[in-house]
Amino acid sequence: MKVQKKTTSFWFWLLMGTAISILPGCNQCTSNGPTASTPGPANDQLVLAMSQEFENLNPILQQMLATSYLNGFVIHSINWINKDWEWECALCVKTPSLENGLAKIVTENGVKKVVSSWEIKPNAKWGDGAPVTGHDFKLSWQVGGSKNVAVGEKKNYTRIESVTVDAVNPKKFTIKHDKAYYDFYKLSHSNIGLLPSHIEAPIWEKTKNQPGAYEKQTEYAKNPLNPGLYNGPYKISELKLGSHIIFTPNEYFYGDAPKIKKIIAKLISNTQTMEANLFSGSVDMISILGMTFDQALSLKEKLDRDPKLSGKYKVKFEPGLVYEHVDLNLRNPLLKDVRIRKALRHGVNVKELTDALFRGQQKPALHSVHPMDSYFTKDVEKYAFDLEKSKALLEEAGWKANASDGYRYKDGEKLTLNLMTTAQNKTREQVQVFLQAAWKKIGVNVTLKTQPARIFFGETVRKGTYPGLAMFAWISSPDNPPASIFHSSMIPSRKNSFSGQNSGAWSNPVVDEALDLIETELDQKERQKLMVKVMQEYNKDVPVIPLYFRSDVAVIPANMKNHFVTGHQHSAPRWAQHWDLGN
Amino acid sequence: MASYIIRRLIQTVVLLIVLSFVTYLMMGLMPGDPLDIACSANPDCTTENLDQMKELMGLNDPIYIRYGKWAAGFVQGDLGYSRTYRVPASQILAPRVVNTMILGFLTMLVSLVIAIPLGVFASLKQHSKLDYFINMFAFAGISTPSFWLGLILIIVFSVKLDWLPAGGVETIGVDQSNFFAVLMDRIQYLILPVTALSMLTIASWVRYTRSSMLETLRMDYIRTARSKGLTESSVIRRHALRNALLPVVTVVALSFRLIFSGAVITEKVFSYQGIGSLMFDSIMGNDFNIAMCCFLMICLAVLLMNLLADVLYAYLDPRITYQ
Amino acid sequence: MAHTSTGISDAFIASSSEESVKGINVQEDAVKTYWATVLSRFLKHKVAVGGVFMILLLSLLAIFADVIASLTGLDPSAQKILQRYGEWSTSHPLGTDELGRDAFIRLLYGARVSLAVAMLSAVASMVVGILVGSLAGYYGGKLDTVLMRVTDSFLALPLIPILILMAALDFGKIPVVGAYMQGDEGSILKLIIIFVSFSWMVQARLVRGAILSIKKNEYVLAARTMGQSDWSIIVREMLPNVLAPVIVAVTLAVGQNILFEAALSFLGLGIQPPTASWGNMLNNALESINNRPSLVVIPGILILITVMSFNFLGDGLQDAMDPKASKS
Repeated sequence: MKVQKKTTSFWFWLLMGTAISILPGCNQCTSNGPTASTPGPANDQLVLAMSQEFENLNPILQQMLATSYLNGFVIHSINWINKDWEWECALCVKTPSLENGLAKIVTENGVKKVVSSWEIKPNAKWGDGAPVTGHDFKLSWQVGGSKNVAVGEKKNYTRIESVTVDAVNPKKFTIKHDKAYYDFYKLSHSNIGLLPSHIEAPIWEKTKNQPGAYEKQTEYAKNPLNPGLYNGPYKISELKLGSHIIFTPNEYFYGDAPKIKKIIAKLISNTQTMEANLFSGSVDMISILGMTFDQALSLKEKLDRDPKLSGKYKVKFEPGLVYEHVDLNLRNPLLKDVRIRKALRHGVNVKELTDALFRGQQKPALHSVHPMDSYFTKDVEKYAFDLEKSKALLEEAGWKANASDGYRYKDGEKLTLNLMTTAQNKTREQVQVFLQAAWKKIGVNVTLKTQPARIFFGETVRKGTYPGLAMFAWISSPDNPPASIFHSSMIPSRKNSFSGQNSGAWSNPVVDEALDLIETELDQKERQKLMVKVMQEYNKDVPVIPLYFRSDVAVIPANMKNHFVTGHQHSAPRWAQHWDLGN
Repeated sequence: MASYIIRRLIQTVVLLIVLSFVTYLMMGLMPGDPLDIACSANPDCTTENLDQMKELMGLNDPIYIRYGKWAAGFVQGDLGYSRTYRVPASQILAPRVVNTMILGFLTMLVSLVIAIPLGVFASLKQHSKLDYFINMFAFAGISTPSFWLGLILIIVFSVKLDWLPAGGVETIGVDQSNFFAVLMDRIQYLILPVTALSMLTIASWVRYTRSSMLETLRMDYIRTARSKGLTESSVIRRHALRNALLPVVTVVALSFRLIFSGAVITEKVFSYQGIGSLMFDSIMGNDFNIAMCCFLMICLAVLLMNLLADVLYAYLDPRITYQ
Repeated sequence: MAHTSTGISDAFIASSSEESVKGINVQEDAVKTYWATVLSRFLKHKVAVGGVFMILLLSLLAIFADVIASLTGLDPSAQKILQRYGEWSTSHPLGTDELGRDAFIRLLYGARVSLAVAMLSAVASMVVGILVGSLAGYYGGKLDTVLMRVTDSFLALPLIPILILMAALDFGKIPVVGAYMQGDEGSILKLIIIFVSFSWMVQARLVRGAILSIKKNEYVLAARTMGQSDWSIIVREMLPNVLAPVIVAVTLAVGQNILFEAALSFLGLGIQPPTASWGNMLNNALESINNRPSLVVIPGILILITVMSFNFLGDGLQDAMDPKASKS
């Protein structure tokens, strides 16, 4: 082979190639967005992207976040939480309460129960013109409560004792709960989905006695384009699972007519591709289930630098409900010592963490309750970042610093803790490394481990088998006492076949008592007091190191009006009829 | 010959059955599932709920019973139910298979059209500059990580130049009635993935064609043909090419495996809605039925092409006797 | 049915199968002159020599990563949260990554992991291949049929889907062995096991073919009549003869393994962070592909160069060791 003589020139070209591909690096990328002359999206079409998979849109069966997001466009529930974090009526006329007399407490066989009366808006209709009635709600309750249907939060259905539809006006119905639950008024899709009985009732009749049959036969899976399945501002004109959905206005919608004539929701699982699509103009908007936080930050910086781009898009951050924290496994002998727990908490500068990694766009958490939540309290023990205090606590616990390697030892044993989290989550991996470095400063050796989400949640967290620390998140929906997380009966063990989510095995009698009382405490003020008690204990015992509340991020066209990021589980598409791209 | 083919067919089927069982076992050993993940962040989703859901989905049976049920259904054409999308698996699979077929065959076609002439030219101009460049290109081709090439293509052609879409299959909402518009639209989306995917096959075919040609050109009958005074071009066309390309045919058939294997990663990089990316997503999301179907379908396609290659080889090469 | 085998590496070794081995005389002197010829022929293959230098350079950098780290004061795991995605500078020659870690030193440590995984797997699969191949070739009969049927089946599988499937499994669930699969080193060991499980077949075929072709040779028969054990006949008389194609195959396999490691790590199934490998550095850099393409481009180029060097080396070795092929 004569080719050998040209070795040098080959390597030369390779290096040249490298240089060429690297050199047009960051300095140029700002100019790569769409040019100012490209017209922004108008009311005839909006393409929004998301990175998470969605399933069929049956509101009872849905389990994925993306599905519940998309459902907002097409199926309204009886009521929901609005952008000001207050419950408000969607399909209903008025939310019942003890004060307005639409709800009352009855006592049957010595048990206090709550009965509430509801009425659906007269003009509320399904997409084929059939009215939304109490029968729809009754069917939904029957389907969701059936042992033959797989539903995530069964309790929401089974605690309802009966649903009675008014014989004269089917728009009116009453609900009786089997106890006097304070939160009887929650009828959103995350509590109870709403099915069109005129379509789904016959299917349910055929499948109700067969385990798992309903979900295979539901019209939402079989014929999702049927307009009768939808009562929201939009209906579906095209649906390809794993790819996209096209929404078009629903002419029978009970509210204002939608302004945007066509909304395409597109699944792009690679978030980088998604960003490239945004710049090339084939995507107009990125939903809250789209970008990674890091990406959003760098996009925001890019927009701030480049006026041409900031004329096109807005990046919106809204502090959300997702509570990131480090669970301490109290079965670990080291972590049983509250001094070590407190030392760990004093040793983390969460403010620095959020400033450095998130440019302050995600807020440090004081405890598990969100500041927007009505249960929030500041009246708890606080842990300022304080290395000296932290070291003193460890000293006191008998862990002495070793001058040579900087770690602490006791009886020849190095103070070592393992910190686990989910693999493939860049932000968590970054925080993991940050924490490792932070705790090294107080002489704690932290080893890191990541597991794929399904192993981490399916095994490790569920059974509480992580050896020391585990970093993950809870979605703390507003007005929702955390009984299943903090109650000592909820410590997963072989005995209760690992039911319960108190994976760190925190056990505190004061908390147990408060949580027992809270469920049936109808007085908002009293509930508030009980929750404050729980949070005070939480911060006294330090079973968890609170980190921050994640922010929801969305990128929207600069000319888009009336879009807001709610920050909680009832996301923006519920109000999509107001979205406006007109000038 | 017929008995040889039949024997190979039986082998293929047996292999598929064994493979399906082993794969089923392995996937069964994967911990957790989509239900666990869906419940993971939700304080109101209790373990009882989870267990009940799993019971309903038949996840609590022993593995061999589940395999039996699954295999029985599969043979009868019931591909099962997707736990991720909550619809029958066939509904998801069909369009994906078509997409991957398009990607795969187009890659094969493009590779053929490029690789064979390049290989032949290189062999005819052995030791020339052209030969050198083709050789280097081939070496680079087999040494490039395909996903990385894909990323670079996206950076250059989608992000920097904005000429081609960065990923996907088609523009959603394109007018489906206009055949030409649909075609042009899909081609746009195929250019980058096909380029990334065909790099490896082009490179290895070029090398193979080149060496096969060189070997043939050294054969006695070529010398004879030349000495008979035939023109160089007719020597090459009539004698050399025909003989040199015979073994290439089998290599091409065998390369199906490379294309289908590579498609998983290429589809992932370009968010191409094919069976490869579906397989990856369903393995990661533990969507059992879908993952099994995708995996077996890829295996089936590859095994059939292997079979075809063997038969072709046996047919084309008189020296092989099929026992 | 040697032609069932496919894959990239097979295309290279296609011409160095059974026949080529026969030409080699096993006499001691002849062996010496043979290797001398090989060396001189190899040295003429300048691209391959270039490849060797490249490999040596990278290996040295990888081996002395610690030394370089202490000399330059760079630390692969030291993160400066406030200097994420830093520009190229004198203190950080290739800038910093998403955690403010130095990209240059991480590339060196990544080279360590990537090269080690690739080389160890290639050598281990050679051992397995030799074992299977010589058992099948030497004993023949039913054992041969069974082993070759298994080999064929393994060869017929689509490799990347299999690797993905295997890598997605939790090896920690397997009793005994599982305990070693935990932690940072666990993912490395796991990857090596997976690679070996699905790459020994080419070697097995080569060895079997070569052994079959010399089984009936006089010196083998002589050794047998002299009462040498089977194993010593295989090791002392037969294996030296298959060395050439086996070495070529190992070299090419290293290149392949680097590519596979990169692909799996890119998909998040390979080497787990914070351990650096070229593949997972690529994966990490994905988020910043639009802002800082260099973090994506450089590890890729390194992979390309390394794999290419190994392919050049394999090509050169093959030309040098295979008289027939070297005519071209």
